[in-house]
Amino acid sequence: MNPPLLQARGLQKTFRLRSGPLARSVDHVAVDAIDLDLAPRERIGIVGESGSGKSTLGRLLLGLTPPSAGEVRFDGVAHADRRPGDWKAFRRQTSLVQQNPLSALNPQMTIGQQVAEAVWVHRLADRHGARDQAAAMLEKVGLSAELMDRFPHQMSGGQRQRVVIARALVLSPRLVVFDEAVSALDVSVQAQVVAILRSLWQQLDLAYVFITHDLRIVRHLVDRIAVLYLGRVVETGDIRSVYARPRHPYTRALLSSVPSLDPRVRNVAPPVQGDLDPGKAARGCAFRSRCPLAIERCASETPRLRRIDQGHVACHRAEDVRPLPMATAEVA
Amino acid sequence: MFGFVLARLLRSLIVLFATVTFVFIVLRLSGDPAQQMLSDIATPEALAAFRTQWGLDRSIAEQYLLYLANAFQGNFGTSFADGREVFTVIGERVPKTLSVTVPAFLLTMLIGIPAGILAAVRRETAADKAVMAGAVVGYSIPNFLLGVALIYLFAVWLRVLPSSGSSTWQHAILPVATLVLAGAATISRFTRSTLIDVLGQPYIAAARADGIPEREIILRHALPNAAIPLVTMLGFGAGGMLGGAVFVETVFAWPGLGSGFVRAVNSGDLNVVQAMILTFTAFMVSINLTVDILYAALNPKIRLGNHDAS
Amino acid sequence: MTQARTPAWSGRRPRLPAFGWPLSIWMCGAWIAAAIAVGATAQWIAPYDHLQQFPLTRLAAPGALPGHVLGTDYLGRDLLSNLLAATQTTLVIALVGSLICAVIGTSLGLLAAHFGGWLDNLIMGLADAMASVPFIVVALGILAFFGSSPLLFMLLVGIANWERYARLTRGLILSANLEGYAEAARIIGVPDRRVYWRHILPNIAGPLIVQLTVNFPEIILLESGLSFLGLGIQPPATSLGLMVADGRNYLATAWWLSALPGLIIVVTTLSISLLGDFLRDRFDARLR
Ligand SMILES: Nc1ncnc2c1ncn2[C@@H]1O[C@H](COP(=O)(O)OP(=O)(O)OP(=O)(O)O)[C@@H](O)[C@H]1O
Ligand code: SF4
Ligand SMILES: [Mg+2]
Repeated sequence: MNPPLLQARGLQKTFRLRSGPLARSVDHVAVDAIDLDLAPRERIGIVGESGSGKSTLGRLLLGLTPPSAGEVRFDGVAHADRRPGDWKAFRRQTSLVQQNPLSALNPQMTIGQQVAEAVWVHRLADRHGARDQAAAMLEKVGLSAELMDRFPHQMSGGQRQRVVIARALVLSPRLVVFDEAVSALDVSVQAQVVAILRSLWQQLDLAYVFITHDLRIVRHLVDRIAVLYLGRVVETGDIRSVYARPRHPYTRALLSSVPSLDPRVRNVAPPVQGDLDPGKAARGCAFRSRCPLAIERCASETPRLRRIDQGHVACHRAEDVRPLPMATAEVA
Repeated sequence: MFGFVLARLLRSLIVLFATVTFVFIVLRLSGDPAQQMLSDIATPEALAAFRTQWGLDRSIAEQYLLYLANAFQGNFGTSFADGREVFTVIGERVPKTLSVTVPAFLLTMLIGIPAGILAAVRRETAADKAVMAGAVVGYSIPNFLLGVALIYLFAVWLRVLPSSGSSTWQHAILPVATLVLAGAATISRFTRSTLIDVLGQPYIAAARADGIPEREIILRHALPNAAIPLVTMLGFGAGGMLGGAVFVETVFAWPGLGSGFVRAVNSGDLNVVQAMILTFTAFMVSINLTVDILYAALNPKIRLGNHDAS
Repeated sequence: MTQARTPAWSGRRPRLPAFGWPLSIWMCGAWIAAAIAVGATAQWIAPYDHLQQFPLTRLAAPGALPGHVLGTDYLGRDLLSNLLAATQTTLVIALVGSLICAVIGTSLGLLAAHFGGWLDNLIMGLADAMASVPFIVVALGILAFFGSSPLLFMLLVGIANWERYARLTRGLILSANLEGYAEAARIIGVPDRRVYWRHILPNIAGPLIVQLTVNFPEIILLESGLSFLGLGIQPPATSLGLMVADGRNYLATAWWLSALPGLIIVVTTLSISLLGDFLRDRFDARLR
């Protein structure tokens, strides 16, 4: 096996929340004890409902926010040991596609300028060369060079999202975090962008973390998947085996109601009963208030990730989780 | 609510404290205080005596503490201009200033708020345009110029009112009128935009949809909600009066704090100047504190104790 | 940001620029253009040196003397020349003051937003303190302690209202930093300085320019006020406020000595305010 490109150990992020100047502060654990390995050219999907800590995890991996505990290594170098000069090199090799495509582009600059900027701030080409590289990259995401002098508001949502992707990939990074890169798009446009991402991955030396709440999309884009619940990984494994045979009650609930994980339609068909309950995390299984299989042990003992089949699952009763009905599994 | 008021009280004290400290630092930075206070003609003995009195021969920390102690006792030495206690000089001027600014403040609100309400309610009518035109013009005329214009009109041309001094109540008419005209312009403009904001809120539209009469909507729904921003406006208004007093009192030779301040600055009477700065600051701090407390009393979020981090 | 809240101008459709402007706005624009021209050329277009005295023709009324269109003052100086020189002084000071103010305020707001923490608290605390006392009090204090020199005076009118820029800039930058584009630029490795200069500044320039048009007339008023009190521009230089103050003693015999400079102050500030309001409304309507 290849040596890991990215390695996270015991990653934790706590936000200190204060409701007022005199109020007592409350600690909110957004990401808890996460281990993660990513080999070169490997693709991993991170799924979970809104607030489960997906974006926070992505930002931790890229060193955009400091962890409260644990460490992240890229090419064997820990973020904490990186000096200012090293960060620049790191930034050149990594990228993030942000969650909100509407604000991700500067309304005052043309898209050509914005894509080319990445090239020339790293002194990889002069302004002319940078522009050519930008044009080539835009071409690859299916945008003709004529669009280079447009401003973001003169483009459609799908075009803008492709610009954002082009900007993230123009430096040929080795690692990209896609945070809900296609979730805001119409279904038909989603399919286009997914196809572009797949073909780009074929051409590039690229590993990526694909964050989404949409289980249908991630299936076609990743090799492995990690399911997040309240900041913890509850199940991880090869995409095919997890989809075929989920071992955690939460994963199973997600998969049995595939299209409806989208928070906007959650009211229509809740994947699981009840709401996220961050207060419960202290001891026992965080999922127990919503879990149909919960037993007494689940309240007293926190389940740890353990190996089952090919994957890892954090559930005391993983063996008792029933397989999905055939039809659902097919669709998924 | 109690915590809120306490926090604001503490903040007011900090502002006062900071002002005294600031004046102390500036005074030390701007040269030898003994020389400055006593001017060039002072004898060496007088300088030495002054230095001992103010502890200028001691360490800077001691000087600072001494200065603080003196400042909070109202002890600023004597006025260089007439040799009287600064405390007395200021004390005489405070009532004079209050006797023009307080009536002017009340009249400003009595004129400005209704005019603003009228303009907001009769939006885009002749009444609105007249009020707004008056407000814009009033806003563009500096009050010293307005004062000069009123003097020309009523004292020089019509000869019905005195132009300067403070011996009779008639003398107060023009200064008060100047402050009111300038103040009402700002207040009516602010009232209008606040009320228009409130009238654009969804709950007003809902009330209209319920068929509640317009009069009722304004009195019952819009004004109570506009009251909170309007309270902060009282603070601006009062501050405007104090700032305006500096000019208006000078124009009309009205012997209040404002003209006294200008005169002290012009003659380099630093003892009076520092006392003036602190007096004005103290006034502003108490005004702001009053506004904050009123604000807290009106605002249910704070009144009920669940205030947020703003 | 692109959605203005109040529908105050929803009835008006944006017309072609300039052609549909009301006459009053044209007049404001014309006045401002004239004032700028005077500010740039006063020393060449003035018929006399503004200090030159004609002792034999003192206090001449406007139109009374062929050589002095607007008459002469109490020392027999040509009033028109003095008005031109005074307008120039006032405008130059207001311009330099506004720019100083914008630069200081914007920089401090940027520092507060960028570093946060105690620096943010310090700068914003200072801004609160400035805003809680009428600026004239601060100004008088500074003038008393440091005396009035032209340079200090310029700085002084320059620090009036800095806190408005600081607050505005800080707020705008904090929200711009939350927008994805600023972070996106940082992620691809654009240095902070370039992020502020190239990405954020162009996006927040609109409100800052609006603030400049609000601030400029206020600085004119402050300058003329302080000069009126004898604490600003000192003779032999002249300014509009100083001329109003000088003319005050001759109200009974030569009211125009105060009235004309006063009129220039009012018309200039009024024009800038009206034009500013108008452009702001149109600008906002465009954005919708
Ligand atoms: N800067 C922050 N300060 C305080 N709390 C934060 C901050 N960022 C995130 N959180 C909290 O951390 C938790 C995880 O947030 P995160 O944005 O990572 O969720 P997410 O899985 O990306 O959700 P979504 O699908 O809605 O994007 C949430 O409860 C959120 O409120
Ligand atoms: S550990 Fe218990 S509560 Fe948690 S998922 Fe498994 S069965 Fe449910
Ligand atoms: Mg997210």
